[in-house]
Amino acid sequence: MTDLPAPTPATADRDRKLRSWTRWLRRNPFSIAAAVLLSAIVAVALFAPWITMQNPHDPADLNLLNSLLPPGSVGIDGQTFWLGTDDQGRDIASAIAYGLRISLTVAVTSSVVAIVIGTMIGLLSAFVGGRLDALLMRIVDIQLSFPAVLIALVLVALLGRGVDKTIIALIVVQWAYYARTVRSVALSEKRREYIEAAYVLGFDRWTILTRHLLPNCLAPVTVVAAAQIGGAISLEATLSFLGLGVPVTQPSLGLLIANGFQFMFSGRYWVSFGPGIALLLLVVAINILAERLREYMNPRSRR
Amino acid sequence: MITYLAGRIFQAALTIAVMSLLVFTGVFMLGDPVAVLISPEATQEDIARLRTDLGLDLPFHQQYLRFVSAALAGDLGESFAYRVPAIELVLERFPATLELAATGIVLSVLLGVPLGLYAGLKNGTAGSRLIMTLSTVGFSIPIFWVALVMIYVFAIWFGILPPSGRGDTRELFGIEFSFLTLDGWRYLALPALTLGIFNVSLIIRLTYAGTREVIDQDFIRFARAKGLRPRRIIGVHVLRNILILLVTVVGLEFGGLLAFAVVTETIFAWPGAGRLLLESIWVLDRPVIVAYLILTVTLFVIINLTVDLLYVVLDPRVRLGGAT
Repeated sequence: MTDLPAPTPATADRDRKLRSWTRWLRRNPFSIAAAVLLSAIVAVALFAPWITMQNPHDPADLNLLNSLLPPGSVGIDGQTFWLGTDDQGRDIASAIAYGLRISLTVAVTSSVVAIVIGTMIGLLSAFVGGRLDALLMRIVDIQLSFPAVLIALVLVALLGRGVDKTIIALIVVQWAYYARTVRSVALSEKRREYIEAAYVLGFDRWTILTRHLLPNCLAPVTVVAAAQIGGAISLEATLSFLGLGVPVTQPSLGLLIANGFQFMFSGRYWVSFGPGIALLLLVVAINILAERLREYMNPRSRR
Repeated sequence: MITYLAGRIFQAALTIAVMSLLVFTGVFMLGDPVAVLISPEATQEDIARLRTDLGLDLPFHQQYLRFVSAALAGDLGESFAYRVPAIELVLERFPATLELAATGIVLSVLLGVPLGLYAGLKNGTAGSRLIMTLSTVGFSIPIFWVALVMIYVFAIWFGILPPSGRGDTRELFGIEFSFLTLDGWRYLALPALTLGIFNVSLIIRLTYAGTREVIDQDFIRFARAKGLRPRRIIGVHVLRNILILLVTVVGLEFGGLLAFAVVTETIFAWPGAGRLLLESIWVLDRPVIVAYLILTVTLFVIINLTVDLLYVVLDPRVRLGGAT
């Protein structure tokens, strides 16, 4: 890392921005609530095996005599099922904690890969320009003119069920948003003086692209990423709910909700509602934070 | 203007052509339909005969050429499951989907524009903040979850609306519609409201942003200085400027609604094209999937084209920009 040039004014600027963003966040109680909620949900997902009373995927942990108990019931072994149980006698709270892990894994993995692919394509498009740019942006335009749900539905229908296949479908759906964002930022950054200065200093194109242009395109990417990740979670849940996403052996929140749907008609709402409310809280928390981030980045709405 | 129009139409045709190739390639890779179609007792000869009948023994490019020439003649193959032309099957189901999506759009505009306008004009008040927070929540809820809550509350808990099906319809111009009968409305209400929720949020936010942007501009101040009544300023000057935004979004979101209709129709057992698509995916009914996708792509391209053209009509700046 010794060959790194001294921190450019741009990176120092970014650090300062980040610090003042946390300060700004602290002044907004609503955003803090969302941040706390999101941290709690992520913690539950991370520590699921240590904080749940049973492994919901292990049949040895389940007892059919405990099936379809309403929230707060005491099971035959004396344990309390705070969120009730499903038809297999599975504790809904434990199922949610494990389901969160699958939902978050799919959404985060697909978003990270989509960010990397989209950023590379967007940078390339802006940097090379000309025909390549026209072609790539044509593809992005066409893809973005179709709703994400439809593209994802058709893709998982073609690929089949599976965690890996759902991730692939979500990557294909998302990359175009990042490519378009990065390209538009890179186009304006490219003409700035610090890039010219870098050329004059004799840096090669690769260094300029990766060390100078890329870091300055990342701020808008975070805004898009924050908004996209909530969408990715919802989309995965939708696909799994329709029986096209993750397999039955790895139930995400969407699949848990689907499993409970049949019991709703006999009044056993809790089998669906537990995972559904968890999903709702997760996505709402993420979107509230994403919106604050966007407001903050937009200088016109800052007060 | 003519060059612009011709260019846009050429682009639209190109998009349809590219998408047809993608759709066909995708569906070509989608498993072997013979396995689904044939009874377990079928002999090896039966299977071979069926493959030849369906043209499945040909190489990929020949299958594609067969598909394109037939498609141009309006034939997208016969449904494996229903044994009727796929295109007829989809077209027959489309009016129900369009009715659902149109009702969803109307509901969301009727709710979203006044709420967004209020939030924008009274920016900073508790009411405005509440509306905007609720719109974030509405924006975040996955549509299938809205559907489930609606079913639980209105169909199971209160038991006032049916959870699935379509109910009585009445014919108009040779097409069956639900909104012409009272019973039809009972069945239409839940799925249409579900479809509309996402858009209400979107329209609230757009109207809010549009109002705030317009309200500080010179022409509004000028209108105020001229002594125009607030009602006229809002009704004419503010709303007209938001209209451009709304047309774009409503146009583009109509496509989104058709896609979300797949989810809504499946949950509410609404007999539309979206539910047909999902059923066809479940049983690998290739021709129906292809027919649905080609029709939807065409519809999307037409919607995008219309939105672009309406934009030119509504916003003089685009018109002038295109001329120079």
